[in-house]
Amino acid sequence: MRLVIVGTGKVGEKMVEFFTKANHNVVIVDIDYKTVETVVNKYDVKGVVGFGLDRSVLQDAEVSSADFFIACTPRDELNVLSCVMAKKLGAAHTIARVRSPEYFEEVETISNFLGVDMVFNPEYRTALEIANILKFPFAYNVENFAGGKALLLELHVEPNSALSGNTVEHIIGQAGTGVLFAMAKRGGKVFIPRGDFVVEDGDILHVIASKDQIIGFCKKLGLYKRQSKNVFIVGGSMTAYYLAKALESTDTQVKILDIDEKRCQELSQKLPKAVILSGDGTDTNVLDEERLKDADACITLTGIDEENVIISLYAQQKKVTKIITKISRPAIISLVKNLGLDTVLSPHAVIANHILQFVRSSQSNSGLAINALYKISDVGEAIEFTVTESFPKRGIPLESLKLKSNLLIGGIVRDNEFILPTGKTVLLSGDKVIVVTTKSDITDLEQILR
Amino acid sequence: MNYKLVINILGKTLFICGLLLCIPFGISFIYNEQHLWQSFVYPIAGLFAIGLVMLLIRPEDKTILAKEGIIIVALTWVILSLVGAIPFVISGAIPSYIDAVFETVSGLTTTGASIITDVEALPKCMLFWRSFTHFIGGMGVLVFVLAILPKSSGSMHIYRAESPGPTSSKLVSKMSYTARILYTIYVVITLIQVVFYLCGGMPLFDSVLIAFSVAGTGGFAITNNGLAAYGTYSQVVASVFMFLFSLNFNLYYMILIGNVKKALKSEEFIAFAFIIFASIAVIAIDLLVSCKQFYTNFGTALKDAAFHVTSISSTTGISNNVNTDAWPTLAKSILLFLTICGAMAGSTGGGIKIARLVILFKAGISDVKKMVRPRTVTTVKFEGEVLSPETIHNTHSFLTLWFALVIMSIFILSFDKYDLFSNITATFACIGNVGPGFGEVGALKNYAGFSGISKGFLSLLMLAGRLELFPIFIMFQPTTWSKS
Repeated sequence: MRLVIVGTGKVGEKMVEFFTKANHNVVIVDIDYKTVETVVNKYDVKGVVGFGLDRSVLQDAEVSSADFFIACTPRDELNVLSCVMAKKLGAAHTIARVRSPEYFEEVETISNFLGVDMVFNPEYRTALEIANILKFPFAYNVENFAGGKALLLELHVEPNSALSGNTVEHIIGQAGTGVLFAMAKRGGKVFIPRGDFVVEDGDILHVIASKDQIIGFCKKLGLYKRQSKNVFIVGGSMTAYYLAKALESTDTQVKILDIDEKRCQELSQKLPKAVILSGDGTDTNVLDEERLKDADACITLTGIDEENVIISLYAQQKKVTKIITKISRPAIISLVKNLGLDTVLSPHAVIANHILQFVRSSQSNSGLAINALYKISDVGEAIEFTVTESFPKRGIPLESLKLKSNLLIGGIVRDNEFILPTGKTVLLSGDKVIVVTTKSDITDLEQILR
Repeated sequence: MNYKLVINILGKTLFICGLLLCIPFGISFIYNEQHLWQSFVYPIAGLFAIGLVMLLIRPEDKTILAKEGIIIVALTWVILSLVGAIPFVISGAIPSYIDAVFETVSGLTTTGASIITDVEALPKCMLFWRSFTHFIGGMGVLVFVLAILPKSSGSMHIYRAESPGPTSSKLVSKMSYTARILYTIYVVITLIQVVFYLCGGMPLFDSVLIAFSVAGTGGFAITNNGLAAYGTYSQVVASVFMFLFSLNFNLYYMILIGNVKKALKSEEFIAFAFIIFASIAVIAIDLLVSCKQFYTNFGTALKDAAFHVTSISSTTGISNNVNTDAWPTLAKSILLFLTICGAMAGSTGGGIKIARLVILFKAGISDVKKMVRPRTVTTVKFEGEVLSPETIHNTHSFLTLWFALVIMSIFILSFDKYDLFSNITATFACIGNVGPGFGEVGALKNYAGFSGISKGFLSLLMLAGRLELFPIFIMFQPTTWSKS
């Protein structure tokens, strides 16, 4: 597969990393000579220096034979326009980043008219992701399948929790309600756990369940925390705006603290329901006065990674139930891993996931394309497919299907009901099936078969 | 310095060197030279054994950083030169080791400067190995390694250090594909060349070896009177192919993907073509006017002018038994100028490279403009792209280091018995990977008369020229070898 990525900022580089790892042909275009050189030195890609709308630059990047053209320069207009240009030159699929709320609300219409295949907004996506996690504060991360009927939850095993020291079978027996242990990560290794797998402190577990099942499961094991209803956001960034917007429909009390008074004015106009506070988030006095310790959740969304980490550490000290930290720079993410911060989100990883899903779903040619895809711990994947008439192995019990190794059917949603698969379960037309794998080469449902 | 990584990759390279040595070993059976088996078996066995031990050292961190990439390239070339000389010594073809190293370096760096007075006396397998080193060195050993090795991050540093030119970029997004495309173009044009020689009645063995020599722009001949032994047709064919191999291989790729217009518009190509054709014309006329005793008709003059201009500008330096040393001064000056200029960047040729000269020329003009009007803001463009100050700075440093080496060489060579002009041209011919110079190292003479120290230094000079100076300087920089 051939991809052209214009603009190699953080999002661009993250995607270069993803796609070169998957052994695709990637060409990068950036206006800055230095950036191009750094990326070309680091990854096996070809680099072109130039403006993303320049015909000769795009021709040098061989856009005409590109399967995907992804524009993620800092300028929204440029991204959309260069997608139009790329489409004209022959790129098969075009993807543009559009971030500012002013454009984003109407961008679907405009981009459909112009022929841009996908528009993505990292801030918006990140906000949706945070809103989702706030519903399940006991999880480190949550992904939705089949419109929320099935959930993939990331649980971090803390010392002395009910999970550690027990086998998977024992835990499920104890909880009484079914959840599926899809994937485990220990010491950098990612694998699919079996029933006799003994959970240890520090393990990262990914489980699949319906909403009721996971809540029941966590209540039984004493891991449960109530949905956050009182949210304290530090940093009035674009993500904060989208998050507050997303939380408006739920009866959640939102406080946003930002240092810039002008920005606070803007936010108060746009978000009448939220409490907007003007003050320095790194000043613990301000945080104390605004009663951070009474909040259910603290979300740090300032533009500076280090500030986010420090504020989150303070919130941790104040025993805030749920803490979500936004970190943009990859180097800092790996640094804070050992700090025991609660959820750490990187907008670039969130969006790279989103794009990967789009790219992979466009790759299938059998009509059994991907509905949704999530990366698990950078290595594994959880993928949702719809079973259609063209899937040959309908009605055959799972235990008699010859599935590939390192692959698992993680759940089925039939008639809006979640079914935990057993050996006897069969796949029927219309089912939404979730496949968990430690590889990253599956583009359609038939490929799960050996 | 990530020593483990460097050792591991060098191990792989040693393995490939061993495999390469198997080819002349096979040739020795074809020509009933089995009695020379030791000359190949010992180094091959040694390379495989040492290579295997080095492969056992596994690096924790597999990222090749700039420093490691450059050192891998420099060491590969040094090791290959030292090991490649062993067969010559064991077989007795070149009894002295330093002479054998000089000959091997000259082969690998595609210089073609020889210390052998009677080439025809060499066994066939040794002749093959000698010419084959040209073919290996032409496109580069590590480019070959990159073509067959699975992807590794940081391979760009290796590619950049080994492929000639001020800027190197990939043809396609993947390094291994880029290297494969380059090698395919290289091999295919070489094969076409062999077919042309065969059509002219040249024996197969000779055709292949001459083709290696021209493809790598090396210049080793396998007869004592060079290409003169095969008649005019072969010399014309060789001239054409020497020109073709002195072109930037990116141009061939552009033509292959149908972008002929862009290839012909390349500034470097236009400059190079102009230099070549102007030189041929001026020399041909000069020969007719000032060298009446040898050249009476325009055809021969043109043929010899074209042969030597393409031979020197491509940095091949192959002989056709014409004594260019006896040519008029203007012709000799032009040839000396071409020796310094060299071929196009990204070709198999050596020299300073036309691309650098174009950049230096343009940067010079822009600097002069700035001096006249200090407030003028200028940009230097090359091939339609704005050059970064780093690239220009780098080109200037290249030239500075080049001069430093040249002056050093002239001093070192002056301890020998030869005259200054011979020493100067020998230096230019070695650093530019051309081979023949003028005077005592002229087209019909060789380097046998230099002392061991001079031969050793000239070998280093040839390596420096082939790797474009920086890797060799970096190798001799003590801080390169520190752990951190």
